[in-house]
Amino acid sequence: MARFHTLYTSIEVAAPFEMPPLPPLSRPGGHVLLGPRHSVWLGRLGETQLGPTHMGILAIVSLLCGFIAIEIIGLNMWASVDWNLLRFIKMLPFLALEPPSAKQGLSILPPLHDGGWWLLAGFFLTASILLWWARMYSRAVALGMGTHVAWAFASAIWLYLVLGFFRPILVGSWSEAVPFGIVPHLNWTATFSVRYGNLFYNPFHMLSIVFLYGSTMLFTMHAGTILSTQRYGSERETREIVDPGSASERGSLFWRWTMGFNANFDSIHKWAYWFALLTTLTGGIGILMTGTVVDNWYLWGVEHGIAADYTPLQQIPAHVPPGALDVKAPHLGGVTASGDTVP
Amino acid sequence: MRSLTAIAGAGLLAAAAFVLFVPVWNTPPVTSEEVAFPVNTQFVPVATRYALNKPPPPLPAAAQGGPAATAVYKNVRVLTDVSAAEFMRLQYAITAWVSPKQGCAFCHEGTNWASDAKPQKAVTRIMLQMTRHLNADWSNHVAPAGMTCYTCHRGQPVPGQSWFPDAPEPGHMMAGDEDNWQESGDTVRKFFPDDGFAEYFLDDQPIAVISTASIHNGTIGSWPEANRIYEMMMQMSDGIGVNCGYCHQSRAFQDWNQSSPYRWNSWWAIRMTRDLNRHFLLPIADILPQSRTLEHENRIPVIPARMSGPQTGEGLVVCATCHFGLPQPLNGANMLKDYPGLSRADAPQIDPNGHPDVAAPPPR
Repeated sequence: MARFHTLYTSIEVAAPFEMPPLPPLSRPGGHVLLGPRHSVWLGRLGETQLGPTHMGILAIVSLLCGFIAIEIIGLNMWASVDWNLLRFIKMLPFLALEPPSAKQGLSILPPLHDGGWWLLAGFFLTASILLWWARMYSRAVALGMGTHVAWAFASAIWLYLVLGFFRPILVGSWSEAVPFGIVPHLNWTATFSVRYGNLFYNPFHMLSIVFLYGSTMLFTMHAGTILSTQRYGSERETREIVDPGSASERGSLFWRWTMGFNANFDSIHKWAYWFALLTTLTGGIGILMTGTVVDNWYLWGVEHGIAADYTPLQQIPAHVPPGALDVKAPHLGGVTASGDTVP
Repeated sequence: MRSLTAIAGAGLLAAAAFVLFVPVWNTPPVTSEEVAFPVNTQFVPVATRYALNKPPPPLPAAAQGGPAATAVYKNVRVLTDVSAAEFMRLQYAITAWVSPKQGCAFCHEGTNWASDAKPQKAVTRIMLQMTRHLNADWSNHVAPAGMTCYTCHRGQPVPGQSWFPDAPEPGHMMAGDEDNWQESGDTVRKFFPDDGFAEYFLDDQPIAVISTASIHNGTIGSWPEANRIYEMMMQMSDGIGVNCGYCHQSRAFQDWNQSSPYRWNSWWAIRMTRDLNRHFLLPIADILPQSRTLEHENRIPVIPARMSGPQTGEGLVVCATCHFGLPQPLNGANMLKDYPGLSRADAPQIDPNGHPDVAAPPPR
């Protein structure tokens, strides 16, 4: 029983390598394969067989573009600490490659030191991501699979492109895009929300949060159901879709008992897929509408009945009364300076 | 395969050891405190901040009456309205507050007390004028505790939390105008860039970037402006040890009707800071460029390559300069009452209805 409750796989299968029959790179449509090899330790988490990783032309160019983007970002950051390696490591959370300043507008050739490097890094990173997407798509087709994974990935790419490409173009300035950097991009996010009147009142942001948190909930509901019915054959999950057996029936009955309704072994995957995909899809729409259609989401929410219209409190007049600030802050304790109780 | 695993394991251990031992960690428990209105919590090592904000005991009171300072001492220009005894008591206090190691000779030429030879003396006069101006004319921010030299100086000739604009930084071949991130601090906010401070603590740049219209109409402020305001506000937040909610409602940062009264206090503070920087601190920089070394830093330096050398130039006032991380400098201790010479006798009464030119709240 305990083996269903651990993170680690306790059964490892030792077998000859599974190798796909593929032509070498020297032939049209050829490939380089990395691996395969066996790893006992990786087998604790997944398959013991590592590889073969498929390296077609898309993958090679994508990795090259990604490498160039990371190099541009990293070297700019390193330059900003005078090429001091120790400072680079310690300041890494705060280092940034910033987009062009506002005066550059949408120029595609700003000076390198004023956002030119940012545009170059963005170009190569985007090329890398799009090529990787094409690789996901073409590999799925090559295996005769559906292309669901590629389209879910496309949804994430949509949000990425909205943040760094579509929205800056709509508002007419690269300076509105996100900087590369850990704390700098977090500051960007916080400033973005404050500047546009609190993003939590943006209905597409609300949807995105629903789908994000919903995804994690569905994920654990599904994984829990499968793990808990494993002894009845739920590891043959896909078989149970067309031929429901004891695992499927027990799992379904569990959810009908506990909440009256259940997804089945087929539809739960569609639920999870669409929840995950819609997280970034709706989020992207929300970002795209911010600063282009709506400038202050809180006021928009007041106008559309989402947020309450707070009438001025009598205790907090627009003009501060004399003596109102003569009270020591840490000891205010729910009573305003003028002696009125805060509702 | 086995050697690969060993290498990967050693690498992981090394990375873990680096993360554990190289950065400076605050040892738990990191205490926090609620500073009401509305309830909002700032997670900072508050014990450190209280330790930084202990006022020194007052000097014994001077004898009442006696001749005026101007009658006894030569070349008295600023403290013209105090007695000779109070004047001398204040000299001792200032020495203890500002130049305890350097003593009287920090400002005075030998024992020729009337001499104006040292530029520090001219600076002290400007500082005294500033303090008296503050306590007399800026009571809407500093009353009732008032402020003294110690509020900022805390035993250092150059106040430890001064802001030095344009800290010397060499140019780069690659990255150009990157932000001036700080390199030490016990909170993330202390690392934030100070590039925008000049716009808000020296110039009259409006601090308004949030649109008051819901639908896009082209009036919203620029993005870099929003970024600078965010960093400046984070300086304020960290400098006085509170979160945004101390003054603002997070649903509507711009709305005065939904803000707490403390926002007015901060509104005055920003105007006060501009006044101090323009009319007192910049003139000082002309007379005596200030220099600060890391001994003045209350923070633990991480890697002070750029900041390890002395910073010279204009040391200016920001929120942390007086507050040292608490909502009230010296935790609200009133040192001014013991040193009447630090306020003007002719201090005007503030007009309770004289209010700032803030845009009126939108009609409802």
